Amino acid sequence: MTRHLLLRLVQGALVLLVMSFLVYALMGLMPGDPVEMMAAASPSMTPEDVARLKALYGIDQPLPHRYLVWLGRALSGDFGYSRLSALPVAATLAPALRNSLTLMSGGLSLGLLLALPCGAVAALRQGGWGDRALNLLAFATISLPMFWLGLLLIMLFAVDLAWLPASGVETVGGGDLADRLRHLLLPTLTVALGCFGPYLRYSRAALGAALREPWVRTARAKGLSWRQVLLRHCLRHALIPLCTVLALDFGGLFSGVLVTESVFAYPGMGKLIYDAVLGSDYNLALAALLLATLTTLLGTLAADLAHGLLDKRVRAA
Amino acid sequence: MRRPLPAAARAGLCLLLALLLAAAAAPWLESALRVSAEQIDLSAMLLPPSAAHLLGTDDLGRDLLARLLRGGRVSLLVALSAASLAALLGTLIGLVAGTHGGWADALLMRLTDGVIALPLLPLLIVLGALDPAKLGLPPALLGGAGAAAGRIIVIIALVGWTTVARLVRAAALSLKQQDFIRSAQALGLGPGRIMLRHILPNTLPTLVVAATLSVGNIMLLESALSFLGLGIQPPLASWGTMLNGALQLLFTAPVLAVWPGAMIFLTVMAFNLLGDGLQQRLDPRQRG
Repeated sequence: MTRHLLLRLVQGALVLLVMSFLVYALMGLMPGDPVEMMAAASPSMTPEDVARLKALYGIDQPLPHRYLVWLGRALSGDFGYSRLSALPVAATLAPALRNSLTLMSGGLSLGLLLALPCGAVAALRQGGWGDRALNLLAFATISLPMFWLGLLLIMLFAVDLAWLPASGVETVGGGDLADRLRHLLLPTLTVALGCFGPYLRYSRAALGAALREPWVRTARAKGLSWRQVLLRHCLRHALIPLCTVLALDFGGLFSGVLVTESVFAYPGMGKLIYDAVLGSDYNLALAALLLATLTTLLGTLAADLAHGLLDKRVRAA
Repeated sequence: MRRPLPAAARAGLCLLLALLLAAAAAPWLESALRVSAEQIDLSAMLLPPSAAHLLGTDDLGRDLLARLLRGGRVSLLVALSAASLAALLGTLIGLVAGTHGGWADALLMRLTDGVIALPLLPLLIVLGALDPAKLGLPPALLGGAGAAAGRIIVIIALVGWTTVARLVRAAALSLKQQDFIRSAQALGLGPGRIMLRHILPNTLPTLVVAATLSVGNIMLLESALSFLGLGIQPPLASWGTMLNGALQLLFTAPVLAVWPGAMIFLTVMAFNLLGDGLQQRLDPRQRG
């Protein structure tokens, strides 16, 4: 297990390194050029000034050289300044990361809370009409475009009923906790419905597999009700694959909530990446994309770990 | 013995056939209904449904039904082409990895792991925003909305091949152990011929199921990208692009946001149900 984990760590570091070069190179292929943008903004700059600035920032150097300089600085924790916010990149990333974590943890937990009981019902009545209806529901939520679901929720709760705010994290000018929660409600619901379908299918499969184990028959023979067997014995077993899926989803954090965040104008990591890429904020986009890769890798690692810790058979191997 | 497809899968198949037919016949349907997807008529903006315009008109006075048909053409074409390209790429990689084994297998599978570990949507946004001129592509490839659609197809295929590759590799690995492959080897057939003539045809069922299931996901990706303004560019419009336009008018004309989204939802659902049904038929043990 330790050997396996070490191998995964090395592999992850390698993927991160390759990804950093790839993204660095891609950034150079985006439209525009930082110094040209400055020149366009101030007409008094001469071509000589432009050349001097390019030399100053090292933009005239070849790509591998520029990448190595950037990598050296990044490894010492210096990711440069964000063009859009005129703040250090880390200071721009921190609040967005916090917002995304809030949205994601709320949404995933709600999704799981909704899906587990449904999965239990479906597993107990496999092939029955309840199972079939739930299966169809799972397919429906999997097939829903997240941004459309967000739009529908806005139309219903923010436009027609005017119960909830349509966008942002708080009322302009600051709000209390209740106000922030009201802003969180619709995006959280969107994320929760988005993961409901897959979680329902996973929990049905996991609980169904646990129900077919021989110890379930023993427990039933002892006189436990289905309910007790399910809650005391099967749930524990089913949680192993579910934890794995949860860890993977958490790793996919920014991919998962990107669309939801942009529909609700929620200032999280996904929206930040989108704005940084479209606003030619190279430093910010680069750091944010690498952070996204890092969390994806950490999620995979956490899934492996959870699998090993919860399942004694894997731990022994 | 062939099991019949489940009812849900048959419903999905019928819906898909109807959608494909409607998309293919869009120009004829338009002239039959005497409407146009392109004709801008500012005196007929945001009309409610009527006999002349069955679903009403959009913010530029274009017939909404005609726009939906045209959007469906683009959405279906892009999703099907991207899925086919991704399946082709995945089959090639999976087939080589599974048949050749050894270092090629190790290398290709690490590559697959790497691509799976990528943050998909953020990366697609970067790829969608790239400046093709800086890639050194000829300017002939750049002009027009058709080039943007081609770009989306290639970009999505480049990240969407992993599932097919893994499944085809697994199928090839198990086929390789079977007697008919060994006898083919004993007959002295070359590895290329064995791969293409004996292993590939037998991976086809797996391939078809995986490809069908991937179309839905790919369509969701394309529509998300187009919704964010990075996919299909106007004047060409997919259902996702139409939703992007509807976002600005959410408070004045919410109905514009309902139809394209509903079409995406129905199409993706149909593909998923069909794929699930095919999977059950291929391997009934998949579901308990």
